[in-house]
Amino acid sequence: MLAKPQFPTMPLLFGEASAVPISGLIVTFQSSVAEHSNTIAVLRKIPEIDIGESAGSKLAIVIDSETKRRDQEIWDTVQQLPGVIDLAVAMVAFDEDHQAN
Amino acid sequence: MDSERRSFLKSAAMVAAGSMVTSGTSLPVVQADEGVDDLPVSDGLSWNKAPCRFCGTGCHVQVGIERGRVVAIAGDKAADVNKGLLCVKGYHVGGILYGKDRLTKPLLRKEGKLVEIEWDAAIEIVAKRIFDSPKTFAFYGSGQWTIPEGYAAQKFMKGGLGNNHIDPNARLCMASAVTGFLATYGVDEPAGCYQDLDECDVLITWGNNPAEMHPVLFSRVTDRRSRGETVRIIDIGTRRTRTTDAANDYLEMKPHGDVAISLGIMHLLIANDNYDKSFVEKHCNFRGAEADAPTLQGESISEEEFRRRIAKYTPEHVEELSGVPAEKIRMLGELFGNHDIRITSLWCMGMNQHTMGTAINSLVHGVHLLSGHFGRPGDAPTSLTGQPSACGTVREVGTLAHALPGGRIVAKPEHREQCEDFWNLKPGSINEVPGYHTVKMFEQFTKPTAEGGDITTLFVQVTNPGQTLPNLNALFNDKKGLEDKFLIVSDVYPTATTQLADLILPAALWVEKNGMFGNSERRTQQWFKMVDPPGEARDDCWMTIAIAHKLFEMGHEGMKDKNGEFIFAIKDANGKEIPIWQFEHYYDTNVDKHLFEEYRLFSTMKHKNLAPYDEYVKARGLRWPVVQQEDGSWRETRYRFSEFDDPFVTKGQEFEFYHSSSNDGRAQIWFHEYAPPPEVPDDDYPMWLCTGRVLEHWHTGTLTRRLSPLNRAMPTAYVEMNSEDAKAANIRQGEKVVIESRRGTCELPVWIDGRGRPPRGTVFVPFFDETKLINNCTLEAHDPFSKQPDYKKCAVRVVKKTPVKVPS
Amino acid sequence: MSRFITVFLSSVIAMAVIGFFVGIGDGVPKSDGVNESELVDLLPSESAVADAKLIPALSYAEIASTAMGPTKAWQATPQSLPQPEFDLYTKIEPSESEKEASSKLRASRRAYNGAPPIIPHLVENTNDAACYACHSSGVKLAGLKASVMSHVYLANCVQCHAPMAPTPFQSIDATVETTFVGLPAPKEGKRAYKGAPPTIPHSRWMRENCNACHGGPHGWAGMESTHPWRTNCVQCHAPSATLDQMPESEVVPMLPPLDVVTAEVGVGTPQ
Repeated sequence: MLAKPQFPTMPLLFGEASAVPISGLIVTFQSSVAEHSNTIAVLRKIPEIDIGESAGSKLAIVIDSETKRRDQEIWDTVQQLPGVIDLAVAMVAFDEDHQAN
Repeated sequence: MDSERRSFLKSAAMVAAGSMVTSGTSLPVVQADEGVDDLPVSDGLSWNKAPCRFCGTGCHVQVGIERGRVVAIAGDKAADVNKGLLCVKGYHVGGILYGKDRLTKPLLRKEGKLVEIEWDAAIEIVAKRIFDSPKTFAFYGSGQWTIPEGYAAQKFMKGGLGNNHIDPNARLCMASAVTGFLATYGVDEPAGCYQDLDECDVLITWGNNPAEMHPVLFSRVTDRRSRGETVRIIDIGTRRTRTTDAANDYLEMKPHGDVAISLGIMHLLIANDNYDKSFVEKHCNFRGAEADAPTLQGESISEEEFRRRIAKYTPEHVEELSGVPAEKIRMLGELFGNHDIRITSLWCMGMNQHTMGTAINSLVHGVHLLSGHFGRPGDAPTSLTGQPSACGTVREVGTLAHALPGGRIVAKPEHREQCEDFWNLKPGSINEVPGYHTVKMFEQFTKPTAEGGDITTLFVQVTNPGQTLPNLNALFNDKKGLEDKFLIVSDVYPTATTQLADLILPAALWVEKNGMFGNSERRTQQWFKMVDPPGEARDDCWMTIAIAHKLFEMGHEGMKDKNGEFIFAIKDANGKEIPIWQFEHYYDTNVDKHLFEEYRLFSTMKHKNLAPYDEYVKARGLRWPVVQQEDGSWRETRYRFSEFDDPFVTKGQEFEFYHSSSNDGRAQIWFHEYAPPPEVPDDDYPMWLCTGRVLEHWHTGTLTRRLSPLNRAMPTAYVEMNSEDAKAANIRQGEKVVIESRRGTCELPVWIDGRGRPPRGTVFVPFFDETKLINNCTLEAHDPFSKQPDYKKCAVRVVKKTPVKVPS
Repeated sequence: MSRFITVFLSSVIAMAVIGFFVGIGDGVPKSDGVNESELVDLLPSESAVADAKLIPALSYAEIASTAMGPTKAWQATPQSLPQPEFDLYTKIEPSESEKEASSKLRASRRAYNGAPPIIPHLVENTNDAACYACHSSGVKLAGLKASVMSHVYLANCVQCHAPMAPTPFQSIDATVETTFVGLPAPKEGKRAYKGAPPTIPHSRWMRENCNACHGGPHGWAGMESTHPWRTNCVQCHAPSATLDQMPESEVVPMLPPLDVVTAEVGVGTPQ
């Protein structure tokens, strides 16, 4: 059975399901993404993060972590990185099978 | 198993995030509508967008054109302002172009008779009069000027002629709102937008009847009730209106009672200690008028001093002054003290046409600031405008006697320099002395030259002062018989003003020309010419440019810029000047676009940033500041001074009044002492007279009285009377009476307990009817700062005309 | 004359009661003050007691000022005003002249097709609830017909619909000289072939309720549906995206055509 993708508007849903989430997020920087190479280097160092497209001051990332706790940690870390002014959720998918196994 | 699924989910998540990054949907970025400007033509009928020609609400209509004529109107569903709905005027706006008596030929008065002349001759007559005496020329315009028209007039007068005698009819309409905003925030125009009407829990109408005057906005609130939402409407007024019918509470006040009520609310907020302390501490200062020579800026006072001054405005004292019961004042105090609800105040002419106009505007802003009901959606002091571009043309382009474009003023050397720079003019071209404001302008025009009346030529565009000025006998009718005074009127129909005109110029109207308007919520709107004007009617903007070019040809130095070129020169791709002063070449290029792109440079100083012309072509208007985003898109601003939406607020400030008159990012909470109205009923003139408008007719009725469905609904002006007053005077329904004041008379039929129901001792007369000029009676007393006259209160008597008939 | 009073009375009462049910303020027409109408005394007042049949009068002197007339029980049955029977399956065959007269009347109340119709009667001292009482689902009384609202309930009816001149000003000549020619009503929609359901030739905005004109007992003569028992009109009749102000595109977006290999290159020589 395939997990249903969901489209929440707030990060609240992280705590709601017991499954481990895969989330597509949008990081908004103070200025153009290109000017924040240091921060992006930090993002690259986090193994759970995949970096995607960027446009203007926005950058798409996907977080795929083992535990919810780790997911929350990453969320908090990214929010506090220099230059980041907003972190928004585009999509969260819960892989229920993974949890069951 | 797992890894495959997870990688699928990851790619889905990446697509979702990526698409939001590239499309920018997480921000309220304005999307251009596809196929907006040319909806496909089917069966010979084509549709095109335009803002409505009437009030300041700024609804968008879709104009149906068939064989070069407007044949239908539809509410524009893509427009955020009206969401597809219109009012009875808007639905019939297409008909305004087709009255049988459209002016189609320039007319010159020769020996008392009007004769047709050619346009070339007309332009030459005007140019010659200006050339011969440039300092005694004045330009009187309006909030119905399109933005490019107003901008051209402004540049022609202040830049070209170095003459500041340019003022608009908005002086009679919006001036006190402007001074109220300036005194409070240091910069003009509302912080909120119409979304406040969708989100407020309480709507307070201060001397305002939006059910008739801004019906689309009012039904935006009342329709929420039909959908099951609760909105409490509190109507504070001097007579019952259709707005009262929809209100939960009606607070009937005496004229000038609004000043006492707002002071009473602030008194209670302080006395009950439930004002918003943190908001006031972080974002507000207190201010009061100087004792000897009050100025618009006033002087800083301490919170202690403010408390001391406001202490006497107890609910009981306010009841005495306003006539509103003390318990109702307490009710208002409690509402404003409750931070969990959202309160929006609406006002228009009731607070603006007021000898304490600046004061009452500032006080109501103060009530919202002190209580912290500010800057959250639904919490807003909202001033409405009556003309489609009172904001866009008058307040932003600054077509006022003291102003320059983009919030600048002639009195400031650096502002003059900036304008000379933008206009590429010689230094010192702009005169530093403010010109005559409306009332003064007409005083000087109607006063014989020998007695010091130093305005000899007056050019009136897009307005009808012969009907709208107060005390017409003193300010307009005296022109008659003054041989050396020359009145030029550009209009679309004969009006009360053209009756005294020496030269009448036939104008193009609405979708007969390109245009741009700016509505009450800072929204700048654009439309294209869709049909040809009738006969030889031409664009007002063209007239100004043609007169300027004639002066240029005559060798007037002011019509040349630093390099000796014509100040309105527009060049084609090869650098060759396009002769836009010849009407047959006027539409060889989009003159509006050229003027707007030049004007746009002025808009950033006060953070009223405008987008390029082409962005407005795509949108149903954009609310300034419109700021370009990193990805090149243009983002409009719904809420000014609030960090969550205004890009100019310093991060972390939550609110910032970045044009504060105290230069500290704070707004001013004003104290003004209550003062009685300038003229109060007495034994000779025992009744209050209030003037105003009705749903069906717009302002002087020049346009709406040529529309059959509207004229049928409201064929005549009338005097609204309380039935008790009528009984006491033995006056019957429909009977003709004479309204007399110390200044003049007006004969009207009586409508007892009609659409509006005045209390005893008050009569109301709408001013739309050119055959019944109530402004013969009104008072020219005006606000000391805004110079806006008070049309809402003066003393009159109602005189029975016919001898008493015994009822059969 | 007396018939007129009865008609007027019944409609006043209907307005009052339905206004009460609709729950919007006071749907009762207010007196015009000067010519105090006798009808006012007949309306239910606060002094009327709850008992439906009992009229409280303690003395003859009080009778004059006692609310009489419609009892609560009678007021509660406004919906049973006699309405002509409507048979869904009656065959509708209006004559050409009837059709023409009907569409002329309809056009006379609009500046152009799509304009909100003007109100052919007085609306003095009445409010939205009073409009709604008759126009929500239509009424026929004494040869007069109240047409049905074609759109959902919107507050402030006179915002869009211009009424007749107020009583004191009825005699004033309100004609205007204009050369405005409004868009005429469309005669019919387009049919793909004979017998195909026609398209909807007008905008559906503010005309969501097709039955207001095209069906039911209160539609316009000559515009009635020939099959009023079918209720989902747009199932068969296609609206116009242009007239409905839908987002438009220049061309109908399609996938690229199939990439078929042409004969000269392909036949018999696979590579």
